[in-house]
Amino acid sequence: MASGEAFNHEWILRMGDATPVGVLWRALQADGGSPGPACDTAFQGLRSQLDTTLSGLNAVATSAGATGEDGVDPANETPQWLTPWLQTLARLGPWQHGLERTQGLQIALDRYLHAHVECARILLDSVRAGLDTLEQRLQMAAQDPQRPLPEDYRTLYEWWLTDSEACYEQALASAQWAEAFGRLANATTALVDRYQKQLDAGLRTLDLPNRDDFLDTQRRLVELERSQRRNTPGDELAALRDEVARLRDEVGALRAERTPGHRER
Amino acid sequence: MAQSPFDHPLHDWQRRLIETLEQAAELPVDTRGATPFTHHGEVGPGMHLRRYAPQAATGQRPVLIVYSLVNRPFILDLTERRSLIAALTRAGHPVYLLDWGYPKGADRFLDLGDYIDDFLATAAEEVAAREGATADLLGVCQGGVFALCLAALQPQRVHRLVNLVTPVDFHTPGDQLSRMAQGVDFDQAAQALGNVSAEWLNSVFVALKPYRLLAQRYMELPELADHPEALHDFLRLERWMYDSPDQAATAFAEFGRECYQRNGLLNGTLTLNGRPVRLSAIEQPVLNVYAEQDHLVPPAAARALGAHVGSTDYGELAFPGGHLGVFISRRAHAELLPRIVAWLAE
Repeated sequence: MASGEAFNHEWILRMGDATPVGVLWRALQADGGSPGPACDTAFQGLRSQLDTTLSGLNAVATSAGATGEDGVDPANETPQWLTPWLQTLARLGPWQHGLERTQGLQIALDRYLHAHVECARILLDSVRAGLDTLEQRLQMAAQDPQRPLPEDYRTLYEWWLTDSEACYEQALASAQWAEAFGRLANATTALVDRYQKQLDAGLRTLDLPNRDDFLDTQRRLVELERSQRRNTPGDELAALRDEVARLRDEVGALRAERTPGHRER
Repeated sequence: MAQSPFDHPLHDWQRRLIETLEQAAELPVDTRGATPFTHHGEVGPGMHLRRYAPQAATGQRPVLIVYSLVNRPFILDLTERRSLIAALTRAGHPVYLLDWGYPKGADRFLDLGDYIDDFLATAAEEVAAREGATADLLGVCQGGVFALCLAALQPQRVHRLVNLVTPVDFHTPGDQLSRMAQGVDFDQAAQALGNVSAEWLNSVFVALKPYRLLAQRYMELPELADHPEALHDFLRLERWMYDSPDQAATAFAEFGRECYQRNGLLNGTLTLNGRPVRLSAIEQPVLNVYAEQDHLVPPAAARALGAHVGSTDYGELAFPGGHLGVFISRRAHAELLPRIVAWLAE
């Protein structure tokens, strides 16, 4: 396929619009090469996008059971004190195992969503900080003749990359990020574990092999291979010799028992 | 059609990007590496020992390369011009590479003892039997940790040791990967996820440098238009970066917990099959190569070996570059590899 067919002018325009640097470059061009009203609007627009994303994530976390400081769920106003009661109720009656699994899955899902939002918030904050730094840098360059403004897209891109990366790495180096990442990783695996337990229970009810069964078989196989590998040939031969000697003794004893003289005695 | 608001340089960049992508589509990408090899037995499930014949009969000692479990080893043999393996065979070494392969379902229960005390030890034994001489081990990154463990626990299998960008102290300042690992429940992850997905692990590595790896790297791609050799190298490296095996669950959890969280290699608390790994027990000559701008294995993490290894014949080489630069950069091939080859020839 020729270039003209595969990638047309429209594609190029859209590609520029899809990246923050493309948006900022167009604004800088519109301002005549020095940051002005178009750049202000562009930066504001990019920050609004971050705000929209963050508020969307917060809404997800809230609907997942976030509780306010007063201990009341703002989404459904379920008092927090009721939770232990509901959990206790799930431990009574013939359906207790299923109810416990379902509750456990719900709790794991809530924790996962919260952890996800916590990580996303830190990263979005770093993106915002990168934009702030870039805007300040542009403004300072506009006021200082010693610092030339970006005259091409590539230079603006380098500025954006350097500033954004510095802010990102600062966020990554924080204890807050390390803790949030740990919580997200653990919440993710805990959620997977809960889904597995639900699925396993369903398969067991249908008398179909489940994950537990596969793992049990695999574990036995690996242990068998390991024991074979670690029994050196010398050990095996010695064990076989011992076994043969033991069998010979046994056969000899049996023969002796069956001889007439033995019976008489 | 509307007038483009972009200036001409941006148009040019985009058009060159298109040309590069079209040229890239025509190029094959294989992952076997540039140097021919023969298979020399299977030392573990799906783990093959490769042999690269020496290009000159100089009677040099065999070198056994112990690569990391995290990526595929063809970065060491990326192209004819950028091949650590070819540099060694040119110097007359029979070179062996333990290809760990791709773990399958049941391999989730393999632990570090299996990998090091059994499979790596078997590989070293095979090399010694075939070549009639104990091998020099060349450990790469995590593979260097494995080589150190083998040298400590089964010293008769290791003649000398070269470690490339190998972490020893997992708690040095600036070790971002280690900081992120501290709060992770590795055992829960191993139990729930089984063999740890390569995509998941790659996303963690990419998250350390997303602006460079996801933005800057491709921004420079159009510069490779009409440079087929460079574009081919780029594509091979691109394939290497994301052609990663899953991680055997138990070994992965053990490495994360014992090395990253408890710093067990440095503290002497790491045990394999019940035996503690003591760096002080390593008495073979050691050459420790580290990269000064390594964001995965900070220099201090690698250099910690010097203060803890038992060997009295210990040397270091600093490389002014990043983690991958040690294997693939022109500078490494011009300056670093000749020094490693010379050390091995001593």
